[in-house]
Parts: sequence; C-alpha cells; structure tokens
Amino acid sequence: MKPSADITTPAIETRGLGRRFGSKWAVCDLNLSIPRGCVYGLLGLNGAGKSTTIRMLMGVLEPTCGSARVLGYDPVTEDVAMKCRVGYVPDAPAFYEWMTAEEVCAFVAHYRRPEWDAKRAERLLRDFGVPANQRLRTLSKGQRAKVSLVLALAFSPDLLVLDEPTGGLDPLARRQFVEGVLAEYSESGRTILISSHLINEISGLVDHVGILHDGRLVRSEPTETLLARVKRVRLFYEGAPAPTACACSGLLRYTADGREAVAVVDDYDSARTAAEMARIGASHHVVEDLSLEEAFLEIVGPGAAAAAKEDES
Amino acid sequence: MSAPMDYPASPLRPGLRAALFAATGTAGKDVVRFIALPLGMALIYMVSEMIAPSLADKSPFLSRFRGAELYFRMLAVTAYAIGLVLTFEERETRTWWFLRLLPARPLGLLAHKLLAGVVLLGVYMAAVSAVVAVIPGGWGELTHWLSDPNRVQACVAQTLAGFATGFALPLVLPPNLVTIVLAGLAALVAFMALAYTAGGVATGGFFSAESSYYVGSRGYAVMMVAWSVIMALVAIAAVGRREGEIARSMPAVEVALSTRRRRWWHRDCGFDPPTVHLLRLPLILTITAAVILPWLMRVWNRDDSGSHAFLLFLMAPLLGALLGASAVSHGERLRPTFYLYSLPVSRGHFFRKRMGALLAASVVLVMAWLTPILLSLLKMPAELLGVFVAGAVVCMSTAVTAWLCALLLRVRLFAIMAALMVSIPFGIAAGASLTSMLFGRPVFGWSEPIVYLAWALLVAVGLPVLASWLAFCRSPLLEQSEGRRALVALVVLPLLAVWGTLLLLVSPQHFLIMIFG
Repeated sequence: MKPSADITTPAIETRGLGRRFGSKWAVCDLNLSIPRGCVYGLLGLNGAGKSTTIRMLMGVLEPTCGSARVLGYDPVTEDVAMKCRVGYVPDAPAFYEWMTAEEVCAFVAHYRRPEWDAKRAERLLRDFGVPANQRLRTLSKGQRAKVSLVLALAFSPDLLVLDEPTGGLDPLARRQFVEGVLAEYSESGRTILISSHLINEISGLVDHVGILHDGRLVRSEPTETLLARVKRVRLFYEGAPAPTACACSGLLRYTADGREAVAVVDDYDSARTAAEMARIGASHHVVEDLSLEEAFLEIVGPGAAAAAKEDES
Repeated sequence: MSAPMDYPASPLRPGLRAALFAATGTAGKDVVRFIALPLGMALIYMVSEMIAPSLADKSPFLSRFRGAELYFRMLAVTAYAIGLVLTFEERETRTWWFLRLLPARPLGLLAHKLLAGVVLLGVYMAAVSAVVAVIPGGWGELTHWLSDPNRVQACVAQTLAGFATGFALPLVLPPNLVTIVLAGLAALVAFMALAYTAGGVATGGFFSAESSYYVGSRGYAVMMVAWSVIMALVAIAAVGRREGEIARSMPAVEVALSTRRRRWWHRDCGFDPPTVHLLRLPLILTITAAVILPWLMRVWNRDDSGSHAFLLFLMAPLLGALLGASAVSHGERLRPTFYLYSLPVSRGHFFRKRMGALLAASVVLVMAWLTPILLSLLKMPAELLGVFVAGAVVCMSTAVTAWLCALLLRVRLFAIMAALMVSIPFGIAAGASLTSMLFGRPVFGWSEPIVYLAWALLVAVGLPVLASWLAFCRSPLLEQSEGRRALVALVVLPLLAVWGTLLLLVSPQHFLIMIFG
C-alpha cells in the first residue's frame, strides 16, 4: 500500500524534529501532528522557525535531529514521491525569469505528469490576471507570487504547503486567493498547511493552529479550542484600586489602571475563573473573546516571554 | 531583478518553446537557453582562423594558435564554457532551488544537464566542422593531426576535463563567475603541477616534450580523465546536498557580524565585512602559490635557467584576478540597489572603504610575491627573477581589470573575455618593459619601457580608482540599467584592448624573450 493511501495517519507528523544553524537551534524538538483534511495555520513571529520547519517538511533542508512523515512519506529518503503529492509555495520563489508564465508552466508540467492539469493552470493564470506570454522578469512581484501559486495548485495536490503565500499580493488578489482558491481547496477535503503573518485574513479558514516561538511549538490545537481557552477578563474593583500584580493560574498578561484591570488567561474555565476573581477581590468581571490574532499576540508577546523565563528560573 | 546572464532570445516561437519544455524538461530548457554559446564560440573560431595568417609574420607565438592547435584548444575551452553555464546560472539565480522543489531525482536532473551539454557540444562541433570544411586545406590538416591516436585521446580527455570542471565548480564555489572560472583554471594547473611533479619524481623526467606526461601523450590523457573523475564526484556530491541555497540566502552582513572577530573588522577596522569574507580565498591561494610554486620550479628546473617559469607567469594573473574580482561581493553586483546605499552614509565613505580593502589586499599580494623574489635573490637566475617581477605586474593589472569589469557589469562570460583581452596584452607589455629595464636588454630602447610603465601604472592604479569612483560616488552605475553599464564597458574596454594589443604586436619579441629567455 502506498504511504499516502492510509487515511488514518496524519497528513504531517514530526517527532523531535530539530534543525541547528551553527550553535543556534532554529527549530527544536518539534512534535507536530496535522490531521488530514484540515487547514492548519502555522503562526509565529519573525525568526520563530516557520520557514525552517516547512523546508524540512519539504525535504529541501535536512533535519539535525528527529524525523518527519508527510503524507506518510519520509521527506529525506522519499522526497520525490512526496513532492508528487505536495504543492509548495516558498516564501521567496525563484524562477527562470527568461521564461514566460506559459513556458514555466509547461516546464513544470514535464515533471508533474500525469497529475498536471494544463487547463486548470491556464484558468488560474487567467483568473489571477497573469499575462501568459510575458517574460517573468517583466512581471511585478505580486504577479510572480501568483505564478508560484498557479504552479502549486495546477496539479491538485493532496497537501498544499504555503509559506507566506500572500506576501506580494495586493488586497484584491489576497481576498481572491483566500476566499476563492483556498476556500475551494479546503472544501475539497485536502490538507493545507499555511504560514502567514496576515492572521486575520486566514483566521476564517484555519481550523487548526500551531504556534512556534523561538523554535519551539508552544501550541498546536484546533482553533476553536485555542479561542475557547485564551480569554481576556476585565476586572472591576469597588472601593479600592485594582492590585498592581495578580497571581492567578494560567495568567498570560495582567495590567491594572485605577479601579479596573485586564487579565488575559490561558486555559480559561468559567467556574474556576470566577472563583479566582473573587479570591483576588474583584467585585465583578467581564469575559471577552479574542480574535485569533489577539490570542496569538498574547501567547507570543513580551509578557508571555517574560513569564516563560520566570517559569524556567 | 533581471537575470544576470543574458543570452540572445531563442528563435523558437513561444508556443513551440513551451511544447519543447513540456516534452524535454531541463535538457530542452538548457539547450534553448544556451544555444547561442556554441554558435558564438564557433564564430570566434572562424574569426581566429581568418586573422591567423596576418599574425604569422608579426608574432610567431600567436600564429601557432590556428588550424589543428586552435581546434584542440577551442574544443576544451568550449566544453569548459558549456559545462559552466549549465550549472552556474542555476546557482546564481537560485533556480537550482526551484528545480529541487520539483519531483525529480537529483541524479535525473544531472543526467538532463549532461544530455544538454552533449547536444550543445555537438552543435559546436558541427558548426566548427563547417568552418573547417570551407577553409582551404583545413579539413586535411585537421584529419592529419588527428591521425595520431594519442592526440585523439588527449583531445577527448581534455574536452571531458574541461566540461567536468566547468560543470562541477559552480555547484560548490560561491556564485561569482570570475572566481569560478579562475579558480577552475588555477585548480587544474595546480593538479597538473602536482601530477607532473609526482610523475617526474617517479620517472626522473620533468615537464618536457620527452616526458611521458606531455600534452598528447597517454600519461596526459590519464591525468585529464583522473581530473574529470574527481570533478564528477564533486558534482554528484554537490547535487545530492540539500541546503546549499539556504545558507547562501542569509545576508552577508548578518553572517559577517556573527562573531566578535568580524564585528572588529566591521566596527573598529572599518573594512566591509563582505569584502573581507570574499578576499579570504584568493589571498590564501595567492600566498600558497607564491610559496609552493618557486619550490616546484626548482624541482623541475634544476639545471635550467628558468625557461619554464611561465607556469608562475600563468598563476600570477589568475590569482590576481581572483583577488580583484572578489573585492566586490556577489550580492552587490546583482542587486540594482544594494543595501549599503540605504544607510545614512555618503557614497564617498564606501569608496574609501573599498579602496582601503583593495589596498590592503594588494599589499598582502605584493608581499606574497616579494617573498620568493627576496628568497631567490641569492640563487635565482636573473631571467627568473625578471619573470617574478613581471608576474607581479601582470597580476596586479589583471586583478584591477577584473575588478573594473566586476564593478561595471554583472559578471558574465563577456566580461571574462573582455578582462583577458585587456589585461593580458597590458600585463605582457608591462612585464616585458620591466624586464628590459631591470636587465638592460639591448633590444629595448630606454624610452619604450617608460611608456609601458606609465600604462601599467594607469591600469594598476587609475582604472580601479575610476571604476570605484563611478560606482560608489559619482554615478550610481549599479542602479543603472544593464544596457547602460554594458555601454560604458563596451566603450572603455575595447579602447584599452586595442592599445594593449598594438603594444604587443609592435614588440612581439618582448613576450618571446620574457618567456623563453
């Protein structure tokens, strides 16, 4: 049985995956499991290790330690078989700039037969507004990004890996890409791994989230679970000002201003939070939902980093 | 960013080209891309054959390079150039990374490229055969020359070695065309020198037409094949490597600032870290060559007064050009607007930094050449000493000319040819003049060397200053279009080349005396 035919295995699975550049670990002890058919958003600040992780998964960068399986294939030893099933859009695509878009599609088609769908490639080029007979060197950055997307989408891969895919796109093309291409693609039951800084744009699509921070995976769970766990609690005090510090379990951030304080908590539970708030003397509190971007920033923000250091010490 | 190496557009219609790419993949793509190269080399062959008779009475040395000799050497050079372009452009434009993302085995890609190389070499041979056929007596001379099986062997082996060297080196060296071309030649010469020495020690015969390692012999063919095998192994190892492009994409400044020592270079010493980084290889090679080659010369020429010193003469400009070409980093040449321009520092500041870096490197280079000269003063024959001095001048003039090309143009094969056109006649003329001045050869008048020296100084000092000034201070040439920079180079370089060639042709005996004593 071909590895990719086993639908019970995750689309991507890593165990203790790590990559070191010199003395610095770019990615460390990564244990990731991405179910098939989901849209997985890999989030992280600059230098968190997102691109390094993706490059290891795509077999273009050898891990220093650990192992990975992509659609059941080992990216190091079975990279050719894996690449037949995976569409990858790198963060900085390099093309033969002397070719036209039509020619580069034809060139890639040579290696992606029989899955390559020339009609689909043609349609995508047309939909994206990319001139097919113009040399790539004369195209804008955004148009070249679109060509990269076409090359990844035209053979309908089982897994689509996108590393900052909307970086060079204008707002209209971004919306077209997210609401059109990605939505259509995810509805077909295929797996998408997307790394992006534009979290708000993809938040409606992403059903699983992984957050990388300093090369380590600090969260990996369904988006709903994450948003249910991370909440902002507004605390109101009567009589006395709000305390300047707060010792609650799962606290990500706490700020006090007069008789009001804001606490961002991880691992939110309504009953437990109510009890905690009563214990620290708040007269009442209001729980607010966070957007995916807000939750991400709370988790990887400076407060979280300081808290993590305190924990370690 | 436009592609750094431009070739004439393929005559194929776009739709036809797309169909060809879809059918043949990398092999077809490379043939379409580089088809102009073998045709251009065949054109050079034809022009060389046409002007060779007119050189015969002016320069017996140059007149040797025609007919079968020219065929033999051009074939190896063309094979080298074809091998080089097949891998170099993929590295320089990072499309090797694009290829690696496709579901193709690395060795499959390698096979496609080898197939393209065979086709391109076949195109060259067909074109040259047509040229040879129309030259009166050309075909007969060539077939007579090739009737010796040893020569056929040598021809095949040397072509193989040229192709393998050109193919493998871009995969492992920094993507700087001058560095790769010259490092390839230097490495081949060093390999041959070692093999000659080892063979000489084993057989007792050193580097002569009677030696079993002379060009055209079986030993020579074996050496070339051995070299090809080494290069093939290098290529296979490099193709199998996964992450060469990743490391290269890291900004040079970031790499340079990663250690305390480099911070010192950058902050306290005032050198541009990329320059220091790039100068390391040519400086090491220069110093190593300067130390080892005199020793090798002594081994080869125990009883000879230095008549074979031309190996040193060859190494000097190669290493010097490496040094000169490395003074400007790859990234700066390729990017139309480079990072340094965005800093709140005047362009004059960069100009001074670069000149300082080049000056320091030149001091090291000159010292490296002075050391063997000083060592040789006690024992070395006067002619050999003269060659050392001449070599140093040639070295410097070639270095700065290559530097000039590197600044004005995105380095391409044209720049290499232009650099050689300019620097070799100038270097030879300057070296000859120095030799004559130092040893008072009767064939030279005393006014002639002064003119030569003035030109040598102009080349060695004036051109790099002018190039730097143009590039960093006055006109941001690096921001200008490729065409405009090429125009500047096209106007400046041929003028110098014509003048240098005239000097050489007027006094061909300078060259012969210097080489053969």
